[in-house]
Amino acid sequence: MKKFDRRNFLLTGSASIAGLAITPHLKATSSTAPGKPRDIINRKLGTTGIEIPVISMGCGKLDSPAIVKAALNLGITHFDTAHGYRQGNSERVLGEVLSPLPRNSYTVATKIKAQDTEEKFFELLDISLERLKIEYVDILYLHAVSSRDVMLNHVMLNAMKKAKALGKTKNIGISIHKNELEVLQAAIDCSEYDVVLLSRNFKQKHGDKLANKIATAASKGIGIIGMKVMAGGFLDKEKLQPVNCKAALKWVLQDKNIHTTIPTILNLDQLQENASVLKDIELNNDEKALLALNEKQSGLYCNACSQCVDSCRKYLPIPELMRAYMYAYGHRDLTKAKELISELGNGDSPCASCSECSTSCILDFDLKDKITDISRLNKVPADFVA
Amino acid sequence: MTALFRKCIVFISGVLLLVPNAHTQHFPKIETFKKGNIATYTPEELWEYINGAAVYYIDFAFKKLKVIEYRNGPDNYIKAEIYEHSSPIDAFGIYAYERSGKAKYLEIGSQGYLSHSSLNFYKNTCYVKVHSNQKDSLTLLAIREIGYGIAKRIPELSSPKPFDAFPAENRIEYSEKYFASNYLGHSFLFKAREISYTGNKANYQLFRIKNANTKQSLQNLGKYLSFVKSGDSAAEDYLFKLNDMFNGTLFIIAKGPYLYGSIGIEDSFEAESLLQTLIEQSK
Repeated sequence: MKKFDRRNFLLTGSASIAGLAITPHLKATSSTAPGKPRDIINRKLGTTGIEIPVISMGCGKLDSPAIVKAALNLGITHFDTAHGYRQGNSERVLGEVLSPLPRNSYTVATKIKAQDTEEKFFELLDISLERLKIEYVDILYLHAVSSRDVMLNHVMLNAMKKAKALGKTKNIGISIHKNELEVLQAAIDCSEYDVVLLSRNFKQKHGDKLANKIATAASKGIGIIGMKVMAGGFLDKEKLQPVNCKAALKWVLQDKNIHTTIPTILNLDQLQENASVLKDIELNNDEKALLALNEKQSGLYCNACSQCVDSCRKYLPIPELMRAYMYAYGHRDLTKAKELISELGNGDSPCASCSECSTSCILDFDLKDKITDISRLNKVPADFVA
Repeated sequence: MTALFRKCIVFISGVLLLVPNAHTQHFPKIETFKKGNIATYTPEELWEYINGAAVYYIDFAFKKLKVIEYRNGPDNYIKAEIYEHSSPIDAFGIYAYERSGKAKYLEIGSQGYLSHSSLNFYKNTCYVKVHSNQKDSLTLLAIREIGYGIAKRIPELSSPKPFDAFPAENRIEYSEKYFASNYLGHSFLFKAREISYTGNKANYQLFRIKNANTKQSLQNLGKYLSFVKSGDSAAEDYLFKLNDMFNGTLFIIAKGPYLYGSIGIEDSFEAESLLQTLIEQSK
């Protein structure tokens, strides 16, 4: 190793320091205390009293304090984590970076899954607060609510309200990964939740219905936060065609009833790209064209919402049949597709006796066509697909 | 088909029925909980089992998951999960990624701990998690029994431990980490091993990054120099001092396919001495 002599040190050291203020998008301030440059677009998060930049940070994979520090420098002030993310390490990393800062300079949301007892719920909440090194979170979500019943479970609803009364959270909410229409309606009817976090992206075929429901919720004062904005991040199963992230974010934010989004940010490059939308949400023609193209390519992945099942006259296991279709055409794994088709045991022409399909798909899949297509595998000997 | 041939077929089939399923041999039988069936998940199916967390495992070259449920009555279960990865360092990586801050470490596998009612450890290419919905003493005992039983069935690895080359003095216990990607938040830094140390004034870290070859090593060093606007060109065998605005003060040197570095050390002589040790012990 060459000796690190003083002359070289001075040359390298001073050049490095000079570089601090120059990087165009990741401009540093003298500390990591966050500021809000005037031209960042903010929206009111329902009636929570929180004014929130349109881009926030999803911390599901967070393992680097550097990204949080960089996000703060760029004007991102809201951070979304969960008790279960990385078995608590996401909350710990956030706590390490945020706890030295003035408490009113950022907002934090965490999530806890429904528990059998209030006691267990508060045990987990207290652990989360300890990891985050704060006395309260700004939003506490009931994590991954997928039905009206779960949402209205009185034990958990009472626990959430109690958490708010005790000052452990300023606001309560629910996060929804599927059955958005049903659960969001339940949240509207219930009138107890301040915020809803839900999947919202350009690929959703039930987008119009969802947008209307979101508008209703927002008009009732519920804060709406969008997640899974990138719709999986790739257009194709081979993961060769990435989604245009800026376009995807801008698309969601065209709806003013979406108050912010929480893309997962893995590195400083992604942060730079996502953060550029903080100040500019206008969707240009190129970006619109990309998204229109993306929609046409999204015909492989069933939502597994099961909304089609009850309306099928034969009660076919449609989500599983769609999974077999995805194995065949998405993964190109005919063996797996055939195994599943054989296991399901619906024969090689399950739709033949129906002149017209009685069921419908929120993603506008031609179910009869896909089921007829994939069921042909029943006629193919196993040796042929191995 | 001759009668003798038919008898052979019947005999072989009978033997196969009696031989335990290879999968179940991974999981021990215990007295207090009854073993269920094994479910297997591939990378494409992992999402069905652990939802969004699947991406973390896939980042660490996940190959296959075997899961079994043990039961003691309708309300008490223990789940044992064996995540198989491509290499021991990947298994370690996901283990450390989820390693709990407050844990009781045990002598199990290559390293393991008990946290609440969950026993996690790694050994060879496997990351194992044994956890329950109950915390009573009978269940905790059963968790340990299952965990140790699984550990015994995973073969030992004869290669050096992943962090043996790092200086031993002043190490912070259980601070070893492996980052498959995005080390320090930078997309060009990956496959990084890191340990934290207690220093005179402040804690610091040492790291070693393995690139594909010398060319890639210098390319990635160049990207880092460019990020901090150093103005210098990447070169091998030269100790660079960087002020990374989000990670603090770093010293970094390229040696063949490796990048060696320190974070949080201010003094160049101290950094040089420690990194020299790491380089020598890595040979």
